[in-house]
Amino acid sequence: MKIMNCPLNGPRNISEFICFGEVSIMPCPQDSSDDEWADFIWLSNNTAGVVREWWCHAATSYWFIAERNTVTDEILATYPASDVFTDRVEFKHKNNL
Amino acid sequence: MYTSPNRLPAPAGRLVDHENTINFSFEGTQYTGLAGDTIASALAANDVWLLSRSFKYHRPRGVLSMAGLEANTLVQVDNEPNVAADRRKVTQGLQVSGQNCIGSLANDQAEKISLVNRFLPVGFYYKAFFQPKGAWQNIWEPIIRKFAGLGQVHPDTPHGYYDKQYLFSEITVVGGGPAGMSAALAAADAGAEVLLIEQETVIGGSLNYGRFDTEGTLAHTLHDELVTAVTDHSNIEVMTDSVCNGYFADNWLPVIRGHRMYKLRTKELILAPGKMEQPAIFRNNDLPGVLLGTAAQRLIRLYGVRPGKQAVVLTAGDDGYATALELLENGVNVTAVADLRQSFDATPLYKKVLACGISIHKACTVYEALPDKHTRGIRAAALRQLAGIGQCGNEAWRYDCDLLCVSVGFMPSYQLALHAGGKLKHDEAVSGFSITGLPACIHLAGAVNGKNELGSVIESGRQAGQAASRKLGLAVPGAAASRPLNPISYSSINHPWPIFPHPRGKEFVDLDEDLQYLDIIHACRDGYDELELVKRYSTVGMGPSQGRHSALATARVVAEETQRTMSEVGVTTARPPLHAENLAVIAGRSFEPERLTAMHHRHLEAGAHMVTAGQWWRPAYYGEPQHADRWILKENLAVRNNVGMIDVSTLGGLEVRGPDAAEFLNRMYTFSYSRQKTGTLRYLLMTNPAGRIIDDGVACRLDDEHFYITATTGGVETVYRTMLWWNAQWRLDVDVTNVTSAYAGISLAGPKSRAVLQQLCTSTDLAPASFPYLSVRTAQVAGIPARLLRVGFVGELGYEIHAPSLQGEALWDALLKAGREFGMQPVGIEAQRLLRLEKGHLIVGQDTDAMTTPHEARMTWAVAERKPFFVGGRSLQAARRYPSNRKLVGFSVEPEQDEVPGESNLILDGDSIAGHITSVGYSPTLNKIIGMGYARADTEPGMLIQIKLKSGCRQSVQVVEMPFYDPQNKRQEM
Amino acid sequence: MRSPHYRTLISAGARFESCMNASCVMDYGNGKNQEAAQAMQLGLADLTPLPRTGFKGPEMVQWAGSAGLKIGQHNNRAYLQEDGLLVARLSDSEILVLNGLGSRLDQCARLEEKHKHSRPAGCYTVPRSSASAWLMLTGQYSTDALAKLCGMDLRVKNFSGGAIAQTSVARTNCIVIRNNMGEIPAFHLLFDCSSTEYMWSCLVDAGMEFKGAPVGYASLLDLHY
Repeated sequence: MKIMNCPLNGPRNISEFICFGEVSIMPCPQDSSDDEWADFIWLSNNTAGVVREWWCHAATSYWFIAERNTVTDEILATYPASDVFTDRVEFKHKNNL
Repeated sequence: MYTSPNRLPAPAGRLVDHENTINFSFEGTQYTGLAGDTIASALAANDVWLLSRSFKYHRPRGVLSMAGLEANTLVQVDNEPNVAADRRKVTQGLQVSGQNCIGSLANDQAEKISLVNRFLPVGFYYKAFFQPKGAWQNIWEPIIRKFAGLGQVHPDTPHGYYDKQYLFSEITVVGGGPAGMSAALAAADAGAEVLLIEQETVIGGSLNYGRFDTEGTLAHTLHDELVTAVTDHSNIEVMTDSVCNGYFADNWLPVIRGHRMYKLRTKELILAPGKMEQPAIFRNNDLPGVLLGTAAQRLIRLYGVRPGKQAVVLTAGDDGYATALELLENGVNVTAVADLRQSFDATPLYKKVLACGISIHKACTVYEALPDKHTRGIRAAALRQLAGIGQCGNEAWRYDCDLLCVSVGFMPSYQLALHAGGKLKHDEAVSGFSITGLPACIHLAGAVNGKNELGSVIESGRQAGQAASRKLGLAVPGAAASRPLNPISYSSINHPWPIFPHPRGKEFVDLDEDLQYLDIIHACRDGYDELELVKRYSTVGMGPSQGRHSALATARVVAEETQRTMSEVGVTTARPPLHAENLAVIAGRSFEPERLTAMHHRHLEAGAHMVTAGQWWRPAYYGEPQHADRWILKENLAVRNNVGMIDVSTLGGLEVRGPDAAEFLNRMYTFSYSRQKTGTLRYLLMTNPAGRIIDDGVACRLDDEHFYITATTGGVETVYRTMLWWNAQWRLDVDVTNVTSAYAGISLAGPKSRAVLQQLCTSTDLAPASFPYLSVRTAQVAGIPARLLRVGFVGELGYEIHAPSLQGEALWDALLKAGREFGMQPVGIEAQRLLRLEKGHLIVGQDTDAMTTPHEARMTWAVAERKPFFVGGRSLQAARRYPSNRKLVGFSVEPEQDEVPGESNLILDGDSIAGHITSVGYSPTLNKIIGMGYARADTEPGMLIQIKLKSGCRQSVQVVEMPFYDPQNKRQEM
Repeated sequence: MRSPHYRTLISAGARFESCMNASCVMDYGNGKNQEAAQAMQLGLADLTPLPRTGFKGPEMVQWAGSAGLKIGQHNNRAYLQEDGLLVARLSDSEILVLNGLGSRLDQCARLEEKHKHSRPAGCYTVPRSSASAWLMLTGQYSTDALAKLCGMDLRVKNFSGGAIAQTSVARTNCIVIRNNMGEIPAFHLLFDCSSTEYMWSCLVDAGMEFKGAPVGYASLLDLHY
């Protein structure tokens, strides 16, 4: 059983966590084409190498980001999501697509 | 007075108590052993050597290693099959019998099978039973199972208590031999917390039984020194009888002791598992009486058992001479030593054996062991002069013997290191192995570190202990001067080729699987020339010993046959478990969490039939299952005509609070919540980013910045987590709290529900004008603070009452009492499902699947398309341009029929599938069978759709408008 | 108000007394000395009827300060207040508050009142009293018993007084707080109240090997002071 370091709770058995896949940035819903949107929804990168992933510590429902090498399964770093997502996100009104 | 033919007096027999006898039976015969004996040693003391029959040819087999490593010693002990007789201790009254034989072990009827062994070549099963189709399952497998079974599992075996425990240590040492003890001491001296794991009953390893010098005293001296130091050290905890059965990531180790599996996490790990003695390959090398040298030493020193009367020793180094001396000093007549080596230095051990007048044949091997028909063991050894590597010359000798000790080399116990990702490398020069490529948190000591001479073994332990301590940041004391020991030294740990094929075969490479020299050759010639393929084709190394005695020889034979080096051939992969483990140990104490609502015991008292919904237990209906239909009907009618109460505590509940609460719900759900008035309810429909329905519920607006929302029983955890995930990105000023278990929920439904509730809710006006449909109030119900939600899931006037869960039972009791005069009935989820079906309300997960859009479910009324954003919105926008080919429709059928539609029956579109029935049931109110399912997108009420029933027959049913019941929704809005 | 598993407690011989409007197990009728000895060996106490509360939100820390709660900067640490209240800091935005053992006052209700009156922005209540069950495991074998249920190293050298683990116990989310009673190891366990019967049975099973048994509130008060 691997150990993962939770930014809130410290090192824990990885069975305490849920992986939610790669951190991908949502394209602007209004400005993206159907193809771009479909790509975002349905296709995974499946990167072989270092990826940024969403992980959740189940007991605390605490979300954070881990950098993991998908080839060696080595966890390189973990940090709070607020390190990446710093600002409030607003959505503009759609212009009748 | 206790006597046994082969029992040696003390001090031989370190582990047995010569004063304390144990009676047990084997194959129906009574025997007497000593406390501390294993089954095998106690039988050996009684001159019983035949322990089992081999897997394929039913050849007689006995002790080989005395270390519990091979199938030879597997016996049936009472109800327990496949017990290693050379590991399990005898206890008073133990009943032991042989396995895998027809008749008795001594006269196994199946032995004749070995006469036809030339018809059972490697890969035989694959070739012979491949055709005709079905022959394997129906004809061959049952026959072969009978012959090739191991022990018997009795169905009435009593349950045992097995469990698991987590364990933690700074430094763990696996293996309590000289290397492990010295590593533990070094680490403990540095101040580390050390756990020492030993699979035998005592620590000491080879110091307990081995002989390392001419006098035979060195092991004893070192043993006393090290064992005392380890036992007395306050930083060392010793676990004996404990098997570390594998290695998993980040030093996570399963350690099995008795009925318990410890899940051990250690910061640093020192592997000191020692080495495994290897057999030589010659004709009849598998018979009882052919023992590894260490096995003979273990019998003598550990159990005080003389391993035979007359012995021949086959060796390739000093170990054989040490064994010969042990035998001589313990009453065994050693007639000859065959040494595979052409020339070697005359060591003190060699000289001492020579001085005893024993014939020593250099460049000589045992060519064949001659079987003894009466004892099933051996009667003589045929020796041959060696003409070259693996080449027997013509000069021959024959020595009578009942014991043949083999000491031709060792392999390190590499398995755990390989589990951890280590690579085993072969050094052709010394025929030895080294292990590389381990994680930094693992340290090797002793044989696995390439050390075999006793002094260097102990020194490598010390170094490993210090290295591990340094990793923990501990200061390590300077090295003390190490003492010269002058024990056995090795020029090479293995003889490179102790393999001697015989024209008539029976030279076993793998005893467990009954594989002979030619079987491996044939596997290569059949084209399986990679080691992993040879293994799978021939099954070599797949038996209980997992290649401990066969991997090396197999690799050598494959290398030779394919003209490659050992390094090129490699060894097969090692995977956990290291030793066979009881499934009970793995199954023991598995946690299956259960969640109960506050009213759980009231349901039980009312005779409810409980069913699970995830971890929750819920009442399906109130009454015994054989009359389920009757109870469901009764509960259904109670709600339609009077009033029913349903435990809805399992529904998810979330508090959404903060200035951005409404904006947050706007983004998470399809509807719009900005203008929802305080005190009202609004439906919630959640889609995922792909626009597919994943949950629903209601939003109660308690004030401007506070919503109390519900979610489905099975969905709330995901909904809650998903909300937090989105807001980790959006950073809105909102807090979401999961309060599911904080509230007990009771749904009061039926035309008389207001009258019931009003009795307990005297200070709140429940009249429709002041508390209309789709609104929420906080109130005292029977003195309990509660939230009242006017909802209509089942289509009648109704209230959901949410109250603090610790008062849930009191609330239930109060309502039940108040409802008595109105004919109130507790209602289970089966009736509830039927009631909502009558109203055409869908259940997410039952009437939707992973691809259902609001459009398909005909819920576009709940989608606010003009919002700037909601999860799934963009996908739904795109989906409108690619119309779906299905939608959810309602249908009804007359009830009087032989076969009625069932859930999951297919809905057809010509010969192709349009969808399936998601919900169906008999509605007593409508006296019809009603259902929902997915049909072609252009299906309209009045049309007929085809259903394929369970029997395969097709039935046309009529599509009707939904809801089936009270289409004007008058009843729920009363 | 009663614990969700009060039937289990009754069949174990529990004697209830009213305590701050709730029905609390005072003892199991085994005599004062024996129960104290049990609690020192391995005792399992049900504190679910006693008051507790929680506060959460981005402005939690600020409000807690203004309400007079003294909490340090470290998450997953419990801070004992002068009046006996134990404040567990679960994260930068959430605290769990346990009524002082032995306190005859519902200190948590007072705190909730204070919160209600001050109506702070960005700090919300968490209904811990009804959401979470509260058990206490006490005695010299409590760490060993927990080691059968919880994959964290809870031995005192790695998990000292005031330490908090929000983790999985018997596959159920649980807040474990070490709150030794003098020399006697003790842990608060808070978990979803719907799992009370399940968790209780797991703890009883894990404690059998160490002769664990339920103990009443009275024995804790004896040991606490």
